[in-house]
Amino acid sequence: MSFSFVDWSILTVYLFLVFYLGILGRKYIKKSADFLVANRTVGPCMGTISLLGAEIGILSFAYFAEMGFLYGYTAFVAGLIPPAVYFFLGKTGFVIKRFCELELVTVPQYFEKRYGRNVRILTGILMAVGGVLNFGVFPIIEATFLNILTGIPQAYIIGTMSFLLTMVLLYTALGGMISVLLTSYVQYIVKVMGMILISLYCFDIVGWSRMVEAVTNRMGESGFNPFKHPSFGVSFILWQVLSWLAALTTWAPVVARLFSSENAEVGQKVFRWTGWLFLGRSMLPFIWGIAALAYVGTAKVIAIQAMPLFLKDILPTGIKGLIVAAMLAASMSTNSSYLLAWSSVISQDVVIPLMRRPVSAKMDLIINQITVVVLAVFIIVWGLFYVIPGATYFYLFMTANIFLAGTFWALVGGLYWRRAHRIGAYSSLILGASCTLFYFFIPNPQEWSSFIGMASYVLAFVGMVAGSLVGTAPRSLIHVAAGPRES
Amino acid sequence: MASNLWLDFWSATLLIASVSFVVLSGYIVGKGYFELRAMLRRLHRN
Repeated sequence: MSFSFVDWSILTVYLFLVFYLGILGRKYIKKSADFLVANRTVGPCMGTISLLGAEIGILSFAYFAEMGFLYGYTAFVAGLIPPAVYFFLGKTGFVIKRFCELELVTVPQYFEKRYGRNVRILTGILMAVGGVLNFGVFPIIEATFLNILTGIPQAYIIGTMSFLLTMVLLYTALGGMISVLLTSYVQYIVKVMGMILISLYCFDIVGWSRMVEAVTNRMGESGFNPFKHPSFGVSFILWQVLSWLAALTTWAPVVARLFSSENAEVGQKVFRWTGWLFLGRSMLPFIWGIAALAYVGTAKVIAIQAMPLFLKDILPTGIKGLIVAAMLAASMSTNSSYLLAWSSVISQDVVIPLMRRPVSAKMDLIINQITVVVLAVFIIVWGLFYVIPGATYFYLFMTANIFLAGTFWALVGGLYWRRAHRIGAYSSLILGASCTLFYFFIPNPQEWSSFIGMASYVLAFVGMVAGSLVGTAPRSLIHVAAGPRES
Repeated sequence: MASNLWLDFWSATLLIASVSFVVLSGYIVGKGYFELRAMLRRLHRN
């Protein structure tokens, strides 16, 4: 066991504190809007903290460090794209401004107003499938990570993860967004301290020149120049820009934060600040991966496990407890946010619309809470039995892509194009999702990720435009195109 | 030579990312405390 009594004590105190805060959120819940979006009372700082709480987790640490380990400094280019997209959206208000003004709870809710109930249900189903498959691998990756860092055998860490998820589940199901905000605040402080400490240890133990030397020796120029690396060409950049544009406007955990904002200006400010902080979110873990490369080398090491192996070796007693607490903070805030966001999509956009009758506020809240519990049970089971095909990074983007491409064009069309029609929305959603499904059935899927990703956006766009033109064409034109009718 | 230019670029990016992460985190944590308190009071009153 590499964890000492001091480390366990730090971790235990931290867990009790977080659980207490989570339960505390319950007394502020009176209706569904309190539960899902904190009754739109969130200011810019808390909005930014909760957004980062959802988007910084063990998972993001693990896959960014894996990229640093595999691709060296070239991986940094993947870290520049999300901040640039955040700035663009925060500055221009593209999509997000109109969204905040409409005072919605979920993206599919807008689709019902714009395109009809069935488009809302289809979007909800695609979002639920993509989001849940995406979220479903979080616990097992986090379990492996914690297993290495603490030295607990794999069998026990699975039990521990189930226990932690149950804790998250309890306070999310009871307190909703208010619990998420309360715990996100404490978790953010611990998380930032942990990230700074790990980075300082990387520079102290390994040093900058040794990192540069390791990348130069193993990768040459492709470790520095993204245009010299086959995985980071222009197509990767284009696909990532589109994916991030879509993710930041339709990804339920992000959009839930946006909808919790006081108004559109606060929402835009949250995006601009988050853009700055997203630079650190990816750059620091990249450096941990590069430091791991210099420290442990590449022999007999699985890329995603290199960083925790490195941390296990270099961190002293006490600091290790704090780092694991920070990692758990990251993991729990991500899990609670994702649990709430995806369960709200399932309950609000699939279950309740399919009931086809108005439900009372009390029933609405009960459905939300039951969905949270069912989802948590599903992801524990899925995480235990599912094996990711290829690299984690590509799997995560592809599961998201099931709904991102179609939803993005349907959303942009709905907000900015008067002729956008439900046939276009259907075509966009179906083409975007079906193109993405190829990823799950072909051999060596990660080699095709950029191509499949770009193709899904192109097809979804064509589907949106062509379907809308057909849907809004004058009847006489459709009859002419179909030829004369037999009498 | 090209690698050196890229390394300089990535070093500068890392420096900006680290400094902005620490400074902005400190700011939002400090101000976020007051926002959180005000939000809870408002919800409690409603």
